[in-house]
Amino acid sequence: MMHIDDEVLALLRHLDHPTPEVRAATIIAVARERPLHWVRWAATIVLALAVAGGAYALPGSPLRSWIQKLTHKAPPAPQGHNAAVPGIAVTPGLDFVVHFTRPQPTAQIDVVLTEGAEVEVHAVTGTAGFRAGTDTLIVDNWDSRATFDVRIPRAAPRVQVVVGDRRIWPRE
Amino acid sequence: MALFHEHFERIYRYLDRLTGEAALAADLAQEAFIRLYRRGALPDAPAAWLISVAMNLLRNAKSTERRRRRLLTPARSEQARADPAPAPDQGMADEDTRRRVRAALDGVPERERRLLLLCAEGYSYREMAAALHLNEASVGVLLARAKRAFRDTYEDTHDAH
Repeated sequence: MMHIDDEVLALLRHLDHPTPEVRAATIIAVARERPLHWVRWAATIVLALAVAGGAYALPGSPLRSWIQKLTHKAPPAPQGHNAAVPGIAVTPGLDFVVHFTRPQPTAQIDVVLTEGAEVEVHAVTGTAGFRAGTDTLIVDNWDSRATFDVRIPRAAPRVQVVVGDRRIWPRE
Repeated sequence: MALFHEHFERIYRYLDRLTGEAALAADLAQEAFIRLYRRGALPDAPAAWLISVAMNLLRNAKSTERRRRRLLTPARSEQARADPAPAPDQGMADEDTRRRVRAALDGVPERERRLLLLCAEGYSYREMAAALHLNEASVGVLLARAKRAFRDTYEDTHDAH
């Protein structure tokens, strides 16, 4: 490794000023201080929020009407049937079966013919598990108090609804 | 603490020689240590880290012309006052040498000047390369060029007298 020779070092020393006497403790004390600009920012934000809050609270405040205009949302459009109800929709094949896995003697299952293209099953009350297989829609109706709504496309070639081992649609 | 004692003076002296502004050098050297403290963890190569930060601070200070005087210590001015005043002739000769050294240093290209001053403070090739974003293998060549340029320029100013 190359070192600076003494002549160059001696010349460079001519540029030197006395080294300030700084203590490490001073550095640590300053480093622990919260930087002033952050304090200023925080104060500015708090002040701005306070002014905005005051303006909003004033009776007949244009700020309030402006914010309400900005945040106002139109009421949600009416949703389709059972949109919020858990369920499943499947496009049926030529021979399609909706199979409720348990006999469910106390349950209510309503079957409705629709103009739609999909077979839909919704748990109107209670809960159930749904899964779709090839030409099959399986409903695990473990909740004996659940009621279901089965919607079958009028144009579907053949759709059966079976509860346990009993076919309820078309009626046997 | 040990790190401060080991590195503060060399960073200050490097910045002082580079800028010719003792107060600025003192402030920036202190600021570099403040940054190190606030960082929380020690960097892998503290010497290279500190000098890199100091150089970044210098660049910022130069570009914005905003100089921090936060930690100007009374001790510095007291010490400066306490230095014995040189005899008039000696003072003039020193001032002349100082001017010529400054002119010689200013005549060295920026990158080589920084290398020369870092080398004078005993930084390793690796630390210099890290601080100046250079390939470590090229440090030696650049340093040799820097020394030659400094000497040549200094001798030119000597001949001119």
